[in-house]
Amino acid sequence: MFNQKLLLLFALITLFGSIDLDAQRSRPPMRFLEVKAVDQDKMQCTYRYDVVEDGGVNKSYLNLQIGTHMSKCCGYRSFQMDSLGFVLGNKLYDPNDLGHKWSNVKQVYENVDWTIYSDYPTGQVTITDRVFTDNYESVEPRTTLVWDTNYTDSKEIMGYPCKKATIEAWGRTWQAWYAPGIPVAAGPWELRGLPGLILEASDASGDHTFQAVRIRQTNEPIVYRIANRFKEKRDRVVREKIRFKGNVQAYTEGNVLLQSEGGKQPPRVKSIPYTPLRLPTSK
Amino acid sequence: MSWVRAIAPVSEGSNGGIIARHRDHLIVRTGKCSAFLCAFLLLSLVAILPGSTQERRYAVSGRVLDSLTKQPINEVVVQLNRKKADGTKAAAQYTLTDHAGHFSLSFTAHQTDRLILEISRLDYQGYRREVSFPPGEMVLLLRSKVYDLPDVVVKDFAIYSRRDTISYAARAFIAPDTYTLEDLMRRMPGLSIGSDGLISYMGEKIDRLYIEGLDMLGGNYPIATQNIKAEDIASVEVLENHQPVKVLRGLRDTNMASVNVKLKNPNMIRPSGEASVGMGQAQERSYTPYEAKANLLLINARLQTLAVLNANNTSARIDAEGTAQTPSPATGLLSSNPATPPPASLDRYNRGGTSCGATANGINRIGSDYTFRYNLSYANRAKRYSRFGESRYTVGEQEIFTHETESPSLRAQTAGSTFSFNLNDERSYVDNKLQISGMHEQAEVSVGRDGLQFVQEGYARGFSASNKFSYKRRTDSDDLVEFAGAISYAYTPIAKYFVSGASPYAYRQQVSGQALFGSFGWDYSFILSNRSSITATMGVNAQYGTLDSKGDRPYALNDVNGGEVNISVSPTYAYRGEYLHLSLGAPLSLLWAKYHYIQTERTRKNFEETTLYPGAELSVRYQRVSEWFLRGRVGFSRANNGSIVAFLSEPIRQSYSAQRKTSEPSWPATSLYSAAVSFEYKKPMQGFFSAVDLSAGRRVVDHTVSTIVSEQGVETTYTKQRSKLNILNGRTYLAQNIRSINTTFSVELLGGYLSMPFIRQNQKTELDTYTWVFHPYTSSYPLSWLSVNLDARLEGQTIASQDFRHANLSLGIGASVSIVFAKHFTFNVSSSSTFRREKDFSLPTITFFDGSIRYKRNRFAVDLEASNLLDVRSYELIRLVEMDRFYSAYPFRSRALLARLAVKF
Repeated sequence: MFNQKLLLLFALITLFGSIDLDAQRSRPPMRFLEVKAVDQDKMQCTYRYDVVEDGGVNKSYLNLQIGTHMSKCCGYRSFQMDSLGFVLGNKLYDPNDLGHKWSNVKQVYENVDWTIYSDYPTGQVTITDRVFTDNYESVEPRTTLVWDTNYTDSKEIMGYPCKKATIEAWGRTWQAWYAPGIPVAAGPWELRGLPGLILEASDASGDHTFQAVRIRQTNEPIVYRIANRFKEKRDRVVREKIRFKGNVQAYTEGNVLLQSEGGKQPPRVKSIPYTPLRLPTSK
Repeated sequence: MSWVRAIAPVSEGSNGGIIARHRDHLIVRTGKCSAFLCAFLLLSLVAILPGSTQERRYAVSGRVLDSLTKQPINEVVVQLNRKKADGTKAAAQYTLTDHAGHFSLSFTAHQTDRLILEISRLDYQGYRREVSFPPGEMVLLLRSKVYDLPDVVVKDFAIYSRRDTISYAARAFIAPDTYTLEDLMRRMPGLSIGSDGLISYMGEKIDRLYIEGLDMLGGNYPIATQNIKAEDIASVEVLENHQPVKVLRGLRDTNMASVNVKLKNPNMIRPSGEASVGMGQAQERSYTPYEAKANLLLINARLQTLAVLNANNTSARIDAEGTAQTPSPATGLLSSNPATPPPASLDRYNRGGTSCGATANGINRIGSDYTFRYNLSYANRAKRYSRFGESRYTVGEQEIFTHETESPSLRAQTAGSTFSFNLNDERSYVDNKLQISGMHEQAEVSVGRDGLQFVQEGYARGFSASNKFSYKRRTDSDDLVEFAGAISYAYTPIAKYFVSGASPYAYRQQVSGQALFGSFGWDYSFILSNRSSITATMGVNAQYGTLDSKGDRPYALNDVNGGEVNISVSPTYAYRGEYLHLSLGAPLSLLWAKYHYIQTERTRKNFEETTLYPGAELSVRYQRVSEWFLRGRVGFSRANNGSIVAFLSEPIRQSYSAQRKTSEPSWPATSLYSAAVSFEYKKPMQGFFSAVDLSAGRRVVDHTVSTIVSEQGVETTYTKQRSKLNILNGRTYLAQNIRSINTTFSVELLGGYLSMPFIRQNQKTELDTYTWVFHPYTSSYPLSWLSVNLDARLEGQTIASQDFRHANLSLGIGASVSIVFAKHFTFNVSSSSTFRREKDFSLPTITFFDGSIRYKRNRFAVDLEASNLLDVRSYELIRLVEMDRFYSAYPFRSRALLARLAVKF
């Protein structure tokens, strides 16, 4: 974790250094993000996402947007960026202005690179992710998840009576608590398909936990971020990510983005703790 | 029609038709079957019979479309609930529609089962229908709806808010020393419990306490909070701006909060209870403290019962006391408390009191909206304390020395019962409450005065019964009709009081009486638009009473009987905008009273009075966001005693004339002007609870009597009184999340001005009163094993006129610390000190110091309590006015130890 922060700090210093150099020249207008609205949401649910990594618990927040035709789940910071990108309307702005606008957003720390567009395109799931500096996009069929709902257990979450359900999916056994009072078949990450919104979910090992912290009725656009991405199967992306996190040094060596003015290399980080949500299928 | 798929039973063995044919065959052929055939049929029967009870597999499918656009709807939850013939429920099955709106569910069922299909999606109206066998083809049209999803925010998973409701998860607040619901609520930020057991939310008293939505105890809810175990609680909800009458929701604002307690198991049928017994020893040998308590509790969402038995001699509050409705006339008759009593609670006094009581309460939910509630209580209290006093003063040349001892004691039995029936749904509200209560009191004061001993005694008995009925109905056009009626009868007081023995102070007196009261009220609110309404109100109150007083002492009124009728109307216009709420009312009431009475000299008199009260009131409330609001109120009223009617009605004027023996009119009139502005800011979340409340008001009362004529002859007197009252209240409240620091303070400035210009003597009397209170209170739970409470109250009063000025100042400081150690032990220590300063008085500063230790396990707890550790034995007052000296002393209970064992069952 500490090493990861060091790496990020170094990358930021390098980035600001380059911005400073750029400032001496006239900087052309730039676009914050290129985005497009793909649906209108009707409610949003924010989850706290706890993941056990390297013996500690990393806390992030996820935002689930549920629309008429699709849903989108991503990190809260990513949601904020997309929202700002939509407000700025794909126009070109002075880079200083953009920096100012982004700094006005009350940002939260998160450890989530992926975004899941469920039922987008229709009948499919699109997952975007980032491995080091590379962007990936995976499109796969939207399969029906067969949950076991034959439990009498119930509990109240956020004032909603909830029922228990379990499933074995993506290499893990998941337990979820869903609210039949909110008839929406969505949930955090890729968990979905229950007769009620999933308000709490955790895997049997206790590595991953999602807990709803806010539910609100909304009417905001669901934004898809347009970017150049490698089209790969999700399983391949997960493998790539595991490979990267397990051997960061191999990735960073020779990468020009991580070289300072004097051509010095950053501190060598061997690996970054990583507990994947979806376990890759064995080859 | 390709999307409608035919539903066919998927056969798993014989189908229904075949069974029927086999049965027919059996009935027809039984009479002439051969042995072979019989054997065959028997075999068939054995094979078929199980088949008749066998469940078979079916499938149901169809398509869900938007009723308006006829477009398919995807992600619709389709759920099939199956109820078996024996009443048991089978596990529900569900599926989701695909993009073409298709759904398909296969299931196993028997033909006698009941199948209910439920269709739901957030933005569509839910759909529910019974499916007949064999399940047919389905095309389901759903109507879209404007859904309303409340904002729910979780704060650290212990507290979350949902619209006006804040929920506290009980598990997050259970500490090692948490035992009862009251202990639990003390730790919840935003909630605090007063010494009387009453709950406050953000510094303001709550309106009512519900358990699973049922209000079993009314205002006497501390019985529940002190007896329900914390381990049975799932969550505590604060319902802000709670309007308990559903019919009035959205029509009448309320700023009050209520609390709802949710149980872990709302269907709990196992009763629980607790019994405790304690015994101790005091340094003062004549006093042996004891207490015993038992309770039995059964609470669930439909039926709640709570019974409590209690006995002690430690002056601890007993639960039944709170339900006693009757006043205490006997103590009032014999009250001899001095102006400056000791600043200590009654349980500190010598022989403070013995109490025993029992209460039984219950509420039953009948259907979804009907409830029946009963509350029964009995209490027996005995209180006794003593006072010793000496006075030395001079009258002229003579020096007088008096010596007095007083030992007042009171014995009182009170019994009360309440039965109420309530219907509370969105359209109708019916409430009928029958209350019957009785009391018997005996008070006694032993007085030793300058060598003379005498006993002053008083007895009082009372009985009262009342029935109140209220009906409200919201019509289809949203108009509101209200009707309220009440009738009550009171046979109280019947009191006797006398001084026994042949002393110069001896006397006897008896007062008895009864009163009958009836009231009727009718309101109709016309909804002019969705924002404004006009309410027409009419009310009639009637009262008839008699009072008979006999005895040695002359009293102004004997054998009084008469009655009053009060008729009132109050048209009110109300506007409820998005941000602005406004109400303008013009109440007008007419009071007619007629009494016959016999004066001291046994002459019969009549008293008749008619008073007209016109008035007006404007109330404005502005609220743009939920956190704060601004409210202003201006009011005016005027009471004209007989003035208007005297001109309008000759007989009444004659009556006035007969009474006053003069034809001059007497027009006493009282005018009241009041104005108040208040601002309230309340933010219950975002890391901490915070509230600021500021209000300022002014009230002016003018009372004028133009003419008063004496019995002896005409004596013109002009009296004019004016009193002004200025009030400023402030309050702040802060509580940090979970581990909280609550601070409340209030500042009250009360200024009074009284002017009485006596025309004859040309004198004017002025009286100014200035009172202020500053009350910070802090309770903190910085760690799960530590709690600290600090309470300080600083109070001052100044009374001044042309002739004198009197001022007093008092400061009370209380502190307590509670520490949990070794997992099962809780150590608590508390102190309370009072400093008082008053002109001419010499008042001691007193400090009480108490401590306790508790050992708690799952099924039992042992307490050891030590009180008055500093052994403060008396409070002595000395008043010196020039050469005169007055001395009083009050004894307190000595240092005492009490051991208590409590067992849960």
